[in-house]
Amino acid sequence: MHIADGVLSAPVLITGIALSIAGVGYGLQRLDYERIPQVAVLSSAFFVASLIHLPIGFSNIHLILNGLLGLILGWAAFPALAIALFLQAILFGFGGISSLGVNVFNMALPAILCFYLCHHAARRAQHESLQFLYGFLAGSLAIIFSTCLIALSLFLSGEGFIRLIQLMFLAHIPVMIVEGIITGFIIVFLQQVRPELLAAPVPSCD
Amino acid sequence: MRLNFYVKLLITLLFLNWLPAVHAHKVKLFATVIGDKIEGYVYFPGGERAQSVTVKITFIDNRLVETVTTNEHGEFQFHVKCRATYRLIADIGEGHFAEYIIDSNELSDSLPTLATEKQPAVSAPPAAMNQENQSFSQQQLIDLIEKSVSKQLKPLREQLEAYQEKIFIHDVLGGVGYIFGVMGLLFYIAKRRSH
Repeated sequence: MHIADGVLSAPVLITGIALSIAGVGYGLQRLDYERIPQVAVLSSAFFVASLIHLPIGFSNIHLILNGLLGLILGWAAFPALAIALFLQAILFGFGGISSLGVNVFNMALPAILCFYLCHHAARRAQHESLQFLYGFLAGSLAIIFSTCLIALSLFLSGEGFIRLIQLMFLAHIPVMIVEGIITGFIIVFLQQVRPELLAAPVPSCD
Repeated sequence: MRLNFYVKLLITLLFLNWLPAVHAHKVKLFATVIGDKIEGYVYFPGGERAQSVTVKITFIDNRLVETVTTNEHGEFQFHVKCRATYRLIADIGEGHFAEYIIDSNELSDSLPTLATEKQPAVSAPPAAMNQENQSFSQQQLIDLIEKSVSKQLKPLREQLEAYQEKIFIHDVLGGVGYIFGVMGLLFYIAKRRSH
């Protein structure tokens, strides 16, 4: 899911950087003092989750968890993802430094979309199966959106779009499913043990 | 009597204070095999060599083979008589010791193995090999060299592998640490803003 250096064209890179800076700025502005540790914990979770590769049949996948981050953090997902992606890039070479802006945007925008789509419903859902469903939706939708955005960034840099998106979708189907299931379970779990995490006064997002 | 003991202790401590070994929290040992010789040195992290340290050389089952002492450069060497897995232990006391394992694979094939040590038959092949030497074709020689080089490199590769694994874990932990560091920074900024 990380785009490396030297793949994207300059206009795409610059747009990505600009959008990411705007997003991180807006996210930080909306960040509540009390929610800083939560952002840090989820940022670390994202940072570590991407490093654990799970073998699945013919290939191996790693969790992304941007749906979960979006669902819980809202706009604060932008700074959280930016830090984690920056560290992944400098420590492990996952994605390039110049493409960092694009990568942050491709991960964070779906997270925020998931927040607007699923947060309210997941928070209100009384029944466990419904909570799981909204978690699942958030987790898998985030991957679908991210895949689309990555395909779009590659297309704008001059790659064949349709073929790319087909390939990427096929490759990411297992990720979507696993991601959805895990996010679903986490949401059910959080609703049981720490419902205030989801119900917390999310910085004026509603 | 009691005073005497404390004075002795104090003098000992003062004396020990001059030894670099006491200041180090950790000692390390590095050894390589060159033919039938194990060469190595004992050092402290940071590079300083440990002089006059006794290095015990034992088999893997802790049977003592020999003890050697490091020279003024912290180096030691030891001639192996048979092919076996050796354990080198440098003990500088106070619970600080370094250990290094020399695998039997690293030692030359021409050495007798531990089990067959007493059989004189083993000494015969080298003579035969010498005669063969001249009749080696170039290709055979190249094969032989490649085989021997790859054999020598294998432990190095394994070490490198283990090291990379360690680095990876450190990087993961370091990354998590950075994230929490940034959290602290944000707290600081938020606190200042609220004042």
